[in-house]
Amino acid sequence: MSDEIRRLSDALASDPASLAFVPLADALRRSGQADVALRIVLRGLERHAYNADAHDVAARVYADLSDWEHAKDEWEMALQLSAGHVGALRGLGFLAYQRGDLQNAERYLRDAAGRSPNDAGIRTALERTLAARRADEASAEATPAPPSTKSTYSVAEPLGELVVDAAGLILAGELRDAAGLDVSASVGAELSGVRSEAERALERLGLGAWRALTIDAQRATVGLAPAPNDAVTLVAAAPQTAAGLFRRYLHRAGQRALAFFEATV
Amino acid sequence: MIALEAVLEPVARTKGVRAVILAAEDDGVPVHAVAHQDVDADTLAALGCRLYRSARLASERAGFGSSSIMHVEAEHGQVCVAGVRDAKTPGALVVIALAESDANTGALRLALARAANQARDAA
Repeated sequence: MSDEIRRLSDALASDPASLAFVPLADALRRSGQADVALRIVLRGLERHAYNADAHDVAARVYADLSDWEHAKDEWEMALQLSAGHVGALRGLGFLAYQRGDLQNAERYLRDAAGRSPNDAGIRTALERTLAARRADEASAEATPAPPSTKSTYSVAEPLGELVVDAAGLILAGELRDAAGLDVSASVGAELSGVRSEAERALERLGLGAWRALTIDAQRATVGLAPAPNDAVTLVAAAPQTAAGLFRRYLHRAGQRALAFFEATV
Repeated sequence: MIALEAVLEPVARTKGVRAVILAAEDDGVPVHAVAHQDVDADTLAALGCRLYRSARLASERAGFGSSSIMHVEAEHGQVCVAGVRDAKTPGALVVIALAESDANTGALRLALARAANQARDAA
């Protein structure tokens, strides 16, 4: 066992609620112990479900285990929790490159390079992506376009999610508008109040407890779901997001909110 | 011009739907309703309009813009409300549907959106 791993293990053992699990899992991953790293980081995420760095490390572990789907989920979550998270941008760029989606690979890597201009690894990955795109374009000009072989769906990512208490105050999460401004507080305060209105209406109609409320608005699809202690989970996604996909986002956000309350309240 | 009854009929025929109502958003008064006997259409219209209005206004204040459809899922049923006309104009109308909890949500939303579009032409 390396000194670093021993030191971090001791730190976590003396304070199990600390964030020492994040560097520990990463150190274990780098030392080739991906399975142990995964157990450590997933256990840590039960307490720190809204820590973007922890999701980033979880994604790296999954990537080491060639579990690309979970890696993507974790990096997307890191990005939702911390807009512009460089590790998540780099990871999503890597995944996009790997599946041949060079346009999105360039987008993620350009964003990462802009935020971390001295990172040689990101610069190299971006240069490789640009070279691959140039080669693709040259090849497309030289040969007739083949029939579409698209093998993956284009999936809109949520704009963000929040956990809002009964007083309309933010407990966790972040939501930014198209200009990148943090609108968590105003959105949480305005929309959490709809909960009590929904509860009153459903009670009068004899429909029992509410499970979800979705609003298709002009600039977003917004969903609310009940959380413990009279709180609300709120998810916003791009307008016209497929209703079934949005329902999955809301369900997943509800599960994270539950884990958040179990760990913190 | 399409009759309002004809606009609501396809929603009413959707499996699991127990009531569909065209109502005025601001006062919740039904304009036309097709409902099972055990459903109090007046109460559903009043509560559906009030909840839709509350969600629409909250969405606007939060910067998301006006809402076109609001859908609430509950333990024993679901309520879906679609705006017929720009909610800021006087006399705005909504279509409200009450359905069983296991009704096909996709079919319900589609039927309601179509009905709202047709009601816009008919109103």
